Amino acid sequence: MKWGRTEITWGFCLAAAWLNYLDRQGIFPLALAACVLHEVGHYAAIRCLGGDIKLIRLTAIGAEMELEAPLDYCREGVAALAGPGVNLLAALVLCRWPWGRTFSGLNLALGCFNLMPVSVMDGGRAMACTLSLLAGPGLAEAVGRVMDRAVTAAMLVCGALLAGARQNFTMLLVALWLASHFCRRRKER
Amino acid sequence: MYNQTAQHQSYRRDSRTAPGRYGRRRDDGTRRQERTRLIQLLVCLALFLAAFVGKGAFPRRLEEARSSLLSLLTADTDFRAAFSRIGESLAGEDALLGTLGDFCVEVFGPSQPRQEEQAVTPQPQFTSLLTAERAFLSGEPDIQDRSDHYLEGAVERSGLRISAGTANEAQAEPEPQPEEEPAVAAVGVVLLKSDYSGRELPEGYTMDQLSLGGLETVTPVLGHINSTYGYRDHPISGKYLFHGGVDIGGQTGEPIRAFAAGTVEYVGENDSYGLYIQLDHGNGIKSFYAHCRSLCVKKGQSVALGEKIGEVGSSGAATGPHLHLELKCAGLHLDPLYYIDSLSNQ
Repeated sequence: MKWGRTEITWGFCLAAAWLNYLDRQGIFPLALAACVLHEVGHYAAIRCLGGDIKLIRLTAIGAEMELEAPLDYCREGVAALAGPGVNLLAALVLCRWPWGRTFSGLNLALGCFNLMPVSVMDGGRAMACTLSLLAGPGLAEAVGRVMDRAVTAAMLVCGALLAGARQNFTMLLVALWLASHFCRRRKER
Repeated sequence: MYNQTAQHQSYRRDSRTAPGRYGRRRDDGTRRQERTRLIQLLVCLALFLAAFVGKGAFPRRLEEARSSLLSLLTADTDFRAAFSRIGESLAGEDALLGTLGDFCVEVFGPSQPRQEEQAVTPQPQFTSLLTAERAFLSGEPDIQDRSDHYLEGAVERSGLRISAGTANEAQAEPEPQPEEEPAVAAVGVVLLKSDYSGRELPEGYTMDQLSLGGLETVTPVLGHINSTYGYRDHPISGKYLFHGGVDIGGQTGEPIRAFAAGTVEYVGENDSYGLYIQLDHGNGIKSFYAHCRSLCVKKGQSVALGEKIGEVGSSGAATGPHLHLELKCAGLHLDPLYYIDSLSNQ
């Protein structure tokens, strides 16, 4: 489905419907709102830095933006950090009121999670941009590759251990979700 | 886990492709895309029909499947409460890093009770002492049984041993006083094995009466029991679900007393439980109070036995003012009726 510059895949609708069905605590609308804030942060930063969005694609494993024209490393790094930045800002503002604390906590968790140093996350992208500026894109790519593999492997191992020993599959699911990103990216290449 | 599957945002550089590359292949691509969309539509339809028919024909089974799936995916983590705690830390009520660490442990950490944490030193028990003593004395124990029963703890602690002969020789002496050295089971030890034979209990729930050790307790709200612990038809949804606590009827604004001395572990609010609070009484014993109209204690605050912690209300999914009380010991939900009084029982 395409609506203006936004493309919504069937997978996204299916995942959203499924999660909404499973949600018993009313977290899903809050998480969706936090994701929208995150996205708005990226969008606003890209526009402010002189870029433009060609397409926003919502898929079952997340959202991604395609730019009309590539940004330089510095601006790309700033744009990458803008999403978590908006979440952290929202968390700081909303925690002042008791009614906003759940949403505040959710924003903080979302912001921190996105700062993970893997290339499919904002933290990894910002790290790659910084390294590219300081030591060149070759080193940044090599470091990024090592980080991707190390973090995903560590999470898979920890996830499998926790799932086996304690029947807690949360870490394993996050690790698989991360791995699916890398698989998808490799397929695209 | 939507907060982890739907939250990822990324943007990527434009991978421009020359329009000419599509050319003749465009028809093939469009056809393939249409076929993929048709398959996706069929999958969606099949899932919708499965959920629709399943909900009508096997509502309980579908609800059970949903519960099992949710437990598997989230390990029964109360995400709302966990996020609220982070928000409270950010507001300066707690150390943020510590709370984030606790959040990670809660989300990714063990979902099963840690049995090793249950090993504690036996302490005198007050609440179930009379019941245990009545049961023991009704068996007409002889002198040896009585000495074993009452002195075992003291003897083990002092390192002394009393032989049967010694006990017989001391028949003329006054009998040991039960109040002085009561034998009390350790926290988590089964005091009364339930003969429950109904539907299989959800994981983490028991019908047995477990010892709370030496914990002194009171009844938080004395009232009629509107709904007991166990499977029941939910009063609002009408679904046959497990009720993990008891509903004690009360008047709006009636004080809720702390079941035992302890610390406020967390407070929160959601659509289901309304305003809720959990107290940690130590040794893995916790009490949970829901549907409150108001709370008068804060997270981390110490509360005394019987201290007012809030007021009865009907917040959340409730049909009237009542207290939903849950008791947990060593990671297991217990039937609170073993430990409290109620008007219906008198």
